[in-house]
Amino acid sequence: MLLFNYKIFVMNYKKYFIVFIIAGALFSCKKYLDKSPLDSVNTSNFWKTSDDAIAGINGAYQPTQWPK
Amino acid sequence: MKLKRLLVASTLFAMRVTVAQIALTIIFTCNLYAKEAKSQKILEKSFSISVQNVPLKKVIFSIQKKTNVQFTFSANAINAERIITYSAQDKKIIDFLDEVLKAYNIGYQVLDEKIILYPLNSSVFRDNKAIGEGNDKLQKTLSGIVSNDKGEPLPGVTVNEKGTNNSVTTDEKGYYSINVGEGKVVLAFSSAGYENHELAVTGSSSANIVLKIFIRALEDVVVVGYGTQKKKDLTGAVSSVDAKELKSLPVPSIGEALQGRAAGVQVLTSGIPGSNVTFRIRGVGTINNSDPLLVIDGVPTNVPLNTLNQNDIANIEILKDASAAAIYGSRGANGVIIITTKKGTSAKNNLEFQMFAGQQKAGNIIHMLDASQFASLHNEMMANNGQPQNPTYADPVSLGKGTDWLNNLFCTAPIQNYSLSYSGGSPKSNYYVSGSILNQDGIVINTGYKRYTIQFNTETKLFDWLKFGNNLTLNTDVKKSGSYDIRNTMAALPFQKIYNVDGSYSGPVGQSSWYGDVINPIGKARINENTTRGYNILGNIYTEIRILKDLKFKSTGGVEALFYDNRSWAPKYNWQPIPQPNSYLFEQYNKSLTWLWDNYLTYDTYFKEKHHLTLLAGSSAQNNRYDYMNGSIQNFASNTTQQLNNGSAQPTVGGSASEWALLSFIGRANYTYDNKYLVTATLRRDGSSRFGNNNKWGWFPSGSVAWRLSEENFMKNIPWINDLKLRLGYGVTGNQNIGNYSFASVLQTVQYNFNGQSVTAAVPLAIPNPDVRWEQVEQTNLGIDASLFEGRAGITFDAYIKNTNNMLVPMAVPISTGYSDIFVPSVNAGKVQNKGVELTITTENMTGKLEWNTSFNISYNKNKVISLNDSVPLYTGGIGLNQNLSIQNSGFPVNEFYGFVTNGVFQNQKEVAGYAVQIPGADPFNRTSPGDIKFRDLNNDGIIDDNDRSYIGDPNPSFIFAMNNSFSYAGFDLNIFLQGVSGNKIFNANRIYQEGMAVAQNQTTAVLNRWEGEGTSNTIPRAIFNDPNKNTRVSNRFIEDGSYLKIKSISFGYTLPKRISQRGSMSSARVYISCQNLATFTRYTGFDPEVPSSGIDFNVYPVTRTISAGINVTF
Repeated sequence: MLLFNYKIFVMNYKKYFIVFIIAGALFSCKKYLDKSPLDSVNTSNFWKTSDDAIAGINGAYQPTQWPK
Repeated sequence: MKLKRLLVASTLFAMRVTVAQIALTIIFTCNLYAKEAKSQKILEKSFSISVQNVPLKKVIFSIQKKTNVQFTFSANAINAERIITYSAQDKKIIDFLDEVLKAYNIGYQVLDEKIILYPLNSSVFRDNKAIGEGNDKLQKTLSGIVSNDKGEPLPGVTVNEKGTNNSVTTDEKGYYSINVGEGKVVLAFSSAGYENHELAVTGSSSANIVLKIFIRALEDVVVVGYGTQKKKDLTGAVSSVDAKELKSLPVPSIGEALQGRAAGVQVLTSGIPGSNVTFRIRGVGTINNSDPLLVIDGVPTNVPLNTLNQNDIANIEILKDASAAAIYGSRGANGVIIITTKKGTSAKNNLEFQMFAGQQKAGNIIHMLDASQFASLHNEMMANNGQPQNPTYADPVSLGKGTDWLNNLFCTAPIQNYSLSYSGGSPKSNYYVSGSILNQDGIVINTGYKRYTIQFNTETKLFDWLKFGNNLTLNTDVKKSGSYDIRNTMAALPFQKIYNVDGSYSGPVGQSSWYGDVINPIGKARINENTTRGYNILGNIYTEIRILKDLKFKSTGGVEALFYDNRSWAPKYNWQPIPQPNSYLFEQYNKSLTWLWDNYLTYDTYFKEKHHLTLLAGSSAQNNRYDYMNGSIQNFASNTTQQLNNGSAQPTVGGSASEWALLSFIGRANYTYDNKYLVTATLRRDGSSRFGNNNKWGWFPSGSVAWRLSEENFMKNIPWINDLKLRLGYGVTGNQNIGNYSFASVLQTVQYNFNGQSVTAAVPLAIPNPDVRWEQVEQTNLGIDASLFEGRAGITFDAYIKNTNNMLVPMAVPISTGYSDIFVPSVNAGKVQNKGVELTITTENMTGKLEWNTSFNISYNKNKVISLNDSVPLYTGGIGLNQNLSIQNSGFPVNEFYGFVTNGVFQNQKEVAGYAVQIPGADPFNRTSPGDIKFRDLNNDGIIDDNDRSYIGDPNPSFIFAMNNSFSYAGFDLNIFLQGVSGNKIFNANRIYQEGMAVAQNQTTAVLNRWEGEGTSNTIPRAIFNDPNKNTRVSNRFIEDGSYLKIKSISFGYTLPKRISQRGSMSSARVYISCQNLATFTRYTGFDPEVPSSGIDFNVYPVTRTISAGINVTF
């Protein structure tokens, strides 16, 4: 008995190869798992501009405005 | 004797486990008698006959009639139409078989109490031979009948000449005929649900007969996630439910049908039309989301189970322990429910029509006070507080019965379901297509559910090495949730009429201490609308490529698109107590899209005869995006234009979106040596967008071993043990239902004045936790599977310890960090433990004409919070009071009730004076007085305050159990299904208000036994307006035993005899009547003891009783 159908295998190995390449391409995409909140300001979309930095500093000084 | 001893032993064992549930197990001591080989007796039966020139089959039939012995044969194969003449006086059957039939080359075999006839050689198949002559190879024809152990012929069995592609399938009579090569050939027989069998055939001309007795039992194939396994090869704890068992259950959703069908799986149902059941597999594993993962046709999904057509489902597997569920990694912690939809078969084209129609009613309606009873209670309540009485109530008796509000809210409601399916196929492809309509009204007015479904499954073998298939579910549903308030309906005052004289809805007018302040509950339920429309697509396309003989590659692409719209409409009204001057409309549109791509390789090989190895390696990627948008507006010019455009005041708009993604790598190895020793190891690596950056990826390993003792030589000669297997498994799974963005560090933007200038500031809201990850469950499972007495008794026993580690709990944030201590992040620090045992017993008590089968399962589970990472407990279970009902604290079960402990009722002033101080005061109307409840002073400080609260009840059942008995006789079938739980407590929170006797709300009839003077009651306090002693505080007064036993379902059916149904070209036709929730045995005083898993019964829509009739017809 044939261990495997050699002819069919040779005929088709290219297809399998393509399938695996696509699969590999998808899974090597590291960003796939990077999801941040879409409805709030958070560390993944903040701290990008100088305005953000100033707002951060303002935040640090905000407690000075609290009633003593 | 052995049999009896075993049964007694197992019963005793069950009793030891169950203690209280003795009654259920007793039935198993009933007669289960071993099968005897009666074949000799059958052959000795005698008869007399004399016929001339009649077909052979007539002779056989008349012998059958005279001797009551059944013959099974394929009329074509034995040429039963041939004309014979035969006469016999007091002949035995064996003589007829040996003398007459042998002459016609017909052989026989006795199976159970049937005689199977088959052709003895191939002479009748000369035609086939002739075809073979043209070929180069010499051919011969083999033929025979394949039947099961009951002697019933099996259609659709694949017969393959081993080592070739030469296959045929058996016909409806179980008959096959196959042309094979000369010399020694091996025929392989295979059919789903039966043992594969191989038969070596030597010899040249004689066409050997294969008449194989297939043993059923453990040969069923079980879907285990990314592949299938034979039940006998399982090493983990997997419950399998065949949808055929659920066939005569006319329930609207498959979830309800699953209740009580698998040990260790608690199904909490609700009477709300279109609602989903809640599954708790092996206890509550976490204080957060304990829902299991649902997988439909290989695709993990969020599709609501109640949107599926029950008739499309072929079987359901429940992966219970970690060694089985670890293949689903970070989603397996709460167990996995795998649903497989139906496929067509090449054996037979099928057209199936099923319908049922019925009436639903509330099983139990609580009795409330009538108008005169309420009036005298109200007078007493006001007097006890020194308040003026309502002059309207001056003569209570004159008020009569008044309005029965509850009976006006509940109604008798119809339910109908129609389902049509057709399926079939050829050896190369198959299809299953169905459509269904469900129309259910709710037992509460203005509630209901409509569902339309389409299922479309195909599978095609394009080439020998390539297969494609698809599963597609389309459904749409409309759920009317109404605007009912069951507790308010209980509270509405009985002397108030529903309608005013002018036909408008009534409302309480006047001071609320006299007339109450309950909005007319019937009016609200009738005029307000709450509707959810769902449009669901669940589809996948898969391909299977055979790369090598033993190596297969499977790729599945799936999509799940869920669209659902919520709409609430409330017209304006002007009834008291709070008129609504503005009509109001709210609409929300939701969209959830999930994509999936799975790829995996399976290598399945046998080597050196005794070794069987299966290897699986693959990957899975899945991601989801959910969007919603909503708007509301008020003040509509007309009630007939209910669109957002038509409103004119206070428009609002809202919306948001969220995403998640999951990437996984999967590996599994199964190894079997000589069918004796089985090893399974799985490993999954999951990366999830929900996990923090420091813990993006997790490993989920598992390992399990099994030993089939029955394959050992020392067990083989014990005839009554057919299969005995020990299993041991350990695994790690995760729960990633932790919210999409628990890791995120969110900044709050604020504006403030700095030097007279408005500036924008960004302030971190909560301390970020980049470590946040899955809740981890480690589970060890020990199991035994046994199949006894030729498969007539099956026993499965499992014991497990399930430890949840890293449960998400709120972080204790020290104020010195500068972060908010209100918006706190979650940390993986809590621990919960569940320990339990499960027992399932299935027996075939009687076979033959009268069949009686029993299946019984019982599970015990103990649940305990081990740690919360903080000495401060969490209070949960709020119902709008200023105190929560439940607590999460280490050392106690999840959702334990927490409150005061009662100690009777003060009978006189002396008792009040001598007791710990409850509510002191100078005003005699506003302090603790005789008739008030004594609460225990648990810390013995002489003052009853919040420090005297304690742990007062566990809502988690200790035992869940169910038993099904099915009988069939001469076409009639009877099915009785019992189900119950015990050891759990219910917080009957409706009673806080409806037995509180403190405000102008109607009360249940229980208050008729209230304290009205010394010695009148020691449990129910006095009626007093405003409740100065806080008799209604959260206490064990309202906690009740939630144990129940229900006659969940009884059905009685009749299957038309074949000769009648075939006249209408039907292959089978069955009619039945059925009743769901026929009776409930419980001490619980609320509507129904089936309440949500928190154990709090507050405003719960009761489970319904349904009586229905149905028809199943197959063509």
